Amino acid sequence: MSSVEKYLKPEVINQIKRLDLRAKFVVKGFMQGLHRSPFHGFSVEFSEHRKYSTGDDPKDIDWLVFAKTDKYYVKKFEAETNLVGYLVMDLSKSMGYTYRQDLTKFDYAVCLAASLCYLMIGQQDPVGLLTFDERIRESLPPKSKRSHLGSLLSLLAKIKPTGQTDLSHSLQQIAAMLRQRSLVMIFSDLLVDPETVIPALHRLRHPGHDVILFHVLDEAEVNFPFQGMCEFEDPESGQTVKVDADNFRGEYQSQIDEFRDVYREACAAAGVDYVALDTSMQFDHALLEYLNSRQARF
Amino acid sequence: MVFGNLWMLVVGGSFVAVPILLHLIMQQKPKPMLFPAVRFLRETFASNQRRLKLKQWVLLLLRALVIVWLAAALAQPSVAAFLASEWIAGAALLLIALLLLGVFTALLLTQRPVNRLLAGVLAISFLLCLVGGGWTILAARHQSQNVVLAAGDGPVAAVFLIDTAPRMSLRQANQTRLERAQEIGDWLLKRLPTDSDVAVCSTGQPQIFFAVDLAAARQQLSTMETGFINRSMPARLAECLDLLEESDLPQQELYVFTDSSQQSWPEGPGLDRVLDRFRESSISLYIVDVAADTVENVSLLKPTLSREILAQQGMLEVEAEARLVGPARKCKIVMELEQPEPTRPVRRDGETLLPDRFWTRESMVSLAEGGSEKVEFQFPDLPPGVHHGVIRIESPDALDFDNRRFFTIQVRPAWRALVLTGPGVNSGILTQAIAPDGERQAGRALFDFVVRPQEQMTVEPIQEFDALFLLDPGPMEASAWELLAEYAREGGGLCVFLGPNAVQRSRPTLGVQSPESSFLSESAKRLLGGELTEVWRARDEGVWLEPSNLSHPILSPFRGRETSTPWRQFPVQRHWGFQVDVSPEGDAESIVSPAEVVMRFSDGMPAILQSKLGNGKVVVWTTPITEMEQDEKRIRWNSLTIGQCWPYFLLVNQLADELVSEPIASLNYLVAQPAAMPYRASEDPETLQLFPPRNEDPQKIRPVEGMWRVRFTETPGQYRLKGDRDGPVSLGFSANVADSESDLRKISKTSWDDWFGESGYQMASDAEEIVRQQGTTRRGQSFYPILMSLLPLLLGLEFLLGNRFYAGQTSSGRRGGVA
Repeated sequence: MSSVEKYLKPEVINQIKRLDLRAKFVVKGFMQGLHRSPFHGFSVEFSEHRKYSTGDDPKDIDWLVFAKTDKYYVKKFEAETNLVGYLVMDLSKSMGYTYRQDLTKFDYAVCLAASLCYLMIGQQDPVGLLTFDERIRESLPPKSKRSHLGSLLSLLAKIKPTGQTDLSHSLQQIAAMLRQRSLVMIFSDLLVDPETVIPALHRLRHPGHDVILFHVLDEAEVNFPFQGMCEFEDPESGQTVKVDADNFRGEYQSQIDEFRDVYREACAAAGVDYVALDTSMQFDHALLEYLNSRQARF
Repeated sequence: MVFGNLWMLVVGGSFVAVPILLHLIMQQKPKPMLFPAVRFLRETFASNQRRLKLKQWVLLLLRALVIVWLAAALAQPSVAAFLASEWIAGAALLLIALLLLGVFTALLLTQRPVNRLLAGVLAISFLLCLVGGGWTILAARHQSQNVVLAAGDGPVAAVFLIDTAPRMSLRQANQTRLERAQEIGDWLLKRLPTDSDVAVCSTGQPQIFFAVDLAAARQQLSTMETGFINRSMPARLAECLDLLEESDLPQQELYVFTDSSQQSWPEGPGLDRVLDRFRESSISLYIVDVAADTVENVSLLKPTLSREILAQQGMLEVEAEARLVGPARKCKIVMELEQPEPTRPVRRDGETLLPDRFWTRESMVSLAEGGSEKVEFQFPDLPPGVHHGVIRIESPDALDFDNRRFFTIQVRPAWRALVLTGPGVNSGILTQAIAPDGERQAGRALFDFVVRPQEQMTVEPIQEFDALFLLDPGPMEASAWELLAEYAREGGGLCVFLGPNAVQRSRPTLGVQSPESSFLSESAKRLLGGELTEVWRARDEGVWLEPSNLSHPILSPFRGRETSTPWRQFPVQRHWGFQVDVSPEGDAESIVSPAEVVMRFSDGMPAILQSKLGNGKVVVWTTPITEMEQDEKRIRWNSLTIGQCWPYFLLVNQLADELVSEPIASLNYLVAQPAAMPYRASEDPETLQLFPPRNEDPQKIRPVEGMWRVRFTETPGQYRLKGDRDGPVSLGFSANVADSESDLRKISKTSWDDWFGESGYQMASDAEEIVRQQGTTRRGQSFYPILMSLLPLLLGLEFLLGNRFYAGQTSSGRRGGVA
């Protein structure tokens, strides 16, 4: 669990003991009336009662229990969901980059994935895991048991982003692999040529998968905080370039914005949810913001 | 251009290597960074690199410029003040050219594509500024080649020349001109760099030399006084230049403290030579004018005496002239004439007691603005002896020395003169002209005549006579000629009026009247200084006396009357021809120096000649003065004594004075003139005490070569000689300052400019002006303030660019990483 615990940090840096608690803390608000679950399925099997809280649909109130106890209870049902979630993690070496030396992009993505995993399993939606670099490396079949959360996070904790990336090929593999319409949540820094990735996203979207693209960048990759003469080395390709960071900042940031806009526009065109994140953002806030916006759309 | 601290420029300039070395060798290594998004950097890498290099070079250039700028400022560069604007303009143009070059380079490096129009404009502007700035600086440098500026506060060779003429004692604003010069000079001396070679000299100082140190120079300056013996400023300047040229110090300065009076700066070859030397030298000349713009002064000019030597009971007439500079005023002029007091002067209790009884005359004069007035005083019946007198202005004024004038006269018994007459000659014309009967009877005549026929020459002991007149002599024995010659050699004065008695009577041939053989003898030739030739007869109206030069003392009464003397009214029909260039035979001692022609007739023949014989003098007239108007027995030789013959009277009276006067003796001198009085062996003691005008102990003097000589007469006043030989013996003379010393007219600014050139000297009148001018000249226009005031701008610019280029480089380790 120790490897899992580090992903339970509500903050980026601090240590949280339990990922599930942390995920619960992060996600519970959504489940308990902050908004309706986006993964609301066609559940018919009763599961349990729980106290009505603000935000619950009044039609779910169990009036019989109200008659007996004079308190409002909501009936919960075991869903037989038709929505399967896949967490698709980019294992490229660039995902292991961090400027502040505390939270890599991969860690950030894992935290985010853990939260979403907790959220979906909490809704009885099965969640699977796929990791890739140049090809798919690890896969965990989707399950909705609560114990699955532990094994999923345990696997995530073991994985190290070390390889080269072929995002396009990997996404096409995933698209070919998935038989059922699924919710595909991709976590990547997308530091590849967009022209190869975008067709792959279309390919993934084509079977009807619901795709969320979490574009995770390090805060340094967004803000470019470097100053003075720097020799930058690409951790994946090993290419170096000597630049005067102060001169580059403006141009770099405009290029990054342009890069994000390319993906944002392409994703919008493909019906893919594009979420631009960087490691300086509180990922729970980022998640909250995204879920709020998604709820507003559904 | 000179530098106050040249070593600072060299050392400081070498520090330029520091940023260059830092840039080339110790160029900062880029921080290694892991960064996944390198692909975005590579796209703009090329243009960024160009910009980066440009910034680096700009920063390097700026830092080097800061160091050079600082080194240049600390080196204290300075140029001649009058060229400062050219240097600044040239430097500004070069800086603009540098700036344009930087912009042009930046444009070439960063702009793609290059705007050709803009680049062309920049390139042309750069070239224009470069050429303009370079040309301006080269021109200024060429002009400043002859300007030597001091290297900062380094030692200088300075000569302080102070005019100590009497005019410098003129008091203005409760301070004399000399005191003002001393005050300003001392103020300047205190500010001269130590180790400077400084000489303080005056126009009255015999020699000039560099003082041991500044303190000695200040002491020398403080003890300076005005004096009455001064060299002219041009002459003194030449000596100052000589002294400065001896100094090895590069900066040489000459401070001239003057009242700018025209008398101190006489124009002439001396001044021209000094000016030529100044033009060729690099000496900084400061003229400190200590004279006020307006002055008021009443001055007395040297008095005019009717005679210096009077016969006893004679009358002295003294004419004094007062001259005013300033507005009209009245003043009282007092004249005092000492009564002879044989026991004085005497030295008692450290004081010189002078005669204290005077004859006094006073007169009040009204002086118009810038005008002058003459006053005449008369003193009749003066007793024998030496009389000292003083004329003074009662009311005091700014200049004291010219308020008093001194004079000395001598009243003595009449001179004894022997008149030897030729056959048929009436001596009355001469004796009445020189010593009229009335005067003789009253005892006031200057001469006491004894008249004897020529033949009775030996009856009287002629050596006892002061003068001897030979009127129209006839032939004489050789012994007689020798006797007369001996008389002259002993110091007597002899005047020979040649006339018809000298004509050879035995053999008049062809109408040519030749002299008697007696006059052609060697003895006669030696005595007369030449040889008689023949009688010249004038036609018609005759000839007349026609003086061409009045410089001879005999003609002095006619000075100023050149055109008013009616010489033509007194024609001369006959006169002797006289050949001057004769070399008589005989021993060397007896050779007569050729006679000097004093006056000629209108036909060019000599009329009056004078020759020196031994200690005496011989005057020869080639025409007689004894022609009587009523003499009809023979043809009259001339009409000099006919009618209103006042020229004749003046002439013979002056002639008589000349015969008895000592050749170099006088009783009234100008200061600095050596005085001489005849030593009378029979009357004077062997030594005399000299009492100078100042209250000093008397000096003992002895006669030298038959004269009492006093060489040092540097103080105006009365010099008294006192001795004892069978009773008290008093002699004396007076010395006065020349009238020109009271001339306060100033030299105009135009003259100064003409002499030294407008930029060749610095004129100042007060201390502040001197300092300002001294500052600009000694160090020229210093760029130190300008450079230092602009340095913060450069430093600020460097700081801004440096921060912008290299800000935040606090860590050199690799940041960023991949987990």
